[in-house]
Amino acid sequence: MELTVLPHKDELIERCLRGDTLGYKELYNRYSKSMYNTCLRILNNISEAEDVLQESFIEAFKNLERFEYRTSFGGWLKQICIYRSINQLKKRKINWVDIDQATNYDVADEQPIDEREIHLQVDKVKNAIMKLPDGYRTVLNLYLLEGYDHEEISEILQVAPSTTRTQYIRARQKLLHHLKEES
Amino acid sequence: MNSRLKKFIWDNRKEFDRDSPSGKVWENIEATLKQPLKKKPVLISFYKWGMAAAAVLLVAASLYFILEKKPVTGTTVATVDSVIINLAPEYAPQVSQFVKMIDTKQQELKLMTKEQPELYKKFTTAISQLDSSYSLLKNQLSASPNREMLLQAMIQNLQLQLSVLNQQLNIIQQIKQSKKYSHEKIEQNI
Repeated sequence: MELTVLPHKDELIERCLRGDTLGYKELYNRYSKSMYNTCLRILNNISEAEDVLQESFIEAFKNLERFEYRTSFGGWLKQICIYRSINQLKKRKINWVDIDQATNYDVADEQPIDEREIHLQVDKVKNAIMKLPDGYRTVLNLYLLEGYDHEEISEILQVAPSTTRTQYIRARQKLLHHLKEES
Repeated sequence: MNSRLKKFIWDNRKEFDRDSPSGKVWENIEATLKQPLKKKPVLISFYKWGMAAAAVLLVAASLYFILEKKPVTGTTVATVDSVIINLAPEYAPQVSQFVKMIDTKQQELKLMTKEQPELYKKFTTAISQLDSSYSLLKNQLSASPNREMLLQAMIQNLQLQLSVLNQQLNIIQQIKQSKKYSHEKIEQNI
């Protein structure tokens, strides 16, 4: 049995479309925190993350009429935030492939770490993620925290899926090293 | 391979979203929203016709000042028909036909958008803007020596109102059909 699912309309969004300005504030309150943390994890810079957050909300609000309930509003907004954060990151002139090659040796030299040796704590994991270089941090965040698969990440970053895979493995290895050092 | 780390992060996912943006982010968003959101494009063709109507008005007004002012005949009764009948009876049948058709279409539109008051509001805004330029033209009629041009512009305005209404009715028809289609699809699939 196959059901064609009719989009479930979000009353808050419908209110905004009707011109209810208070609705926008409510939407902001509902989503700003999680969106901000996503931006912050990618950019690792408060003022850049706030700028991207602001631009993303403005873009979403101005294009609200185009939102078609194909995904949830939160999912749609998060995509805008992620794309904008990555664009901002690219302004720092990161070359994803170069990072991969440049860090090739030091990661390869490190001993693989057994996850079971490490006691995981939220704050420690958070800090260790933020210590990673931009490229590693982004791939690891998109994979572990935003739940994208490697195909999707390779599309977002416009690199080959094999690159994101190896980057993720190395990023994770580096993260575990940081965690082990801390403990 | 990454199951423990991944599982740990997913189990504590909310804990990873602890930071909050500063209040100035919302202030900036609010300030930006206040201006451009009010600007809503109506219909491009309306602007085009509006420009044409404005040009006609300009020419008419200049002619009015250049040529000698004639004594005003007839009354300035607000209804379309009496103005037209008094000043340009030869246009009366055409105008009244248009007015009737517009009226019918508007009734139809009102009926069809019963469930979509927002859509109805948007649609009527476009029409009422056209209608107010029509009234503007009509008010110039008694004073203008070049009635022919004004009347042409008025007829064009009515034609435009009619075609906008037709387009709006088409849109509603399409919306209704697509809804009906998706309902049928669901019923088939169940």
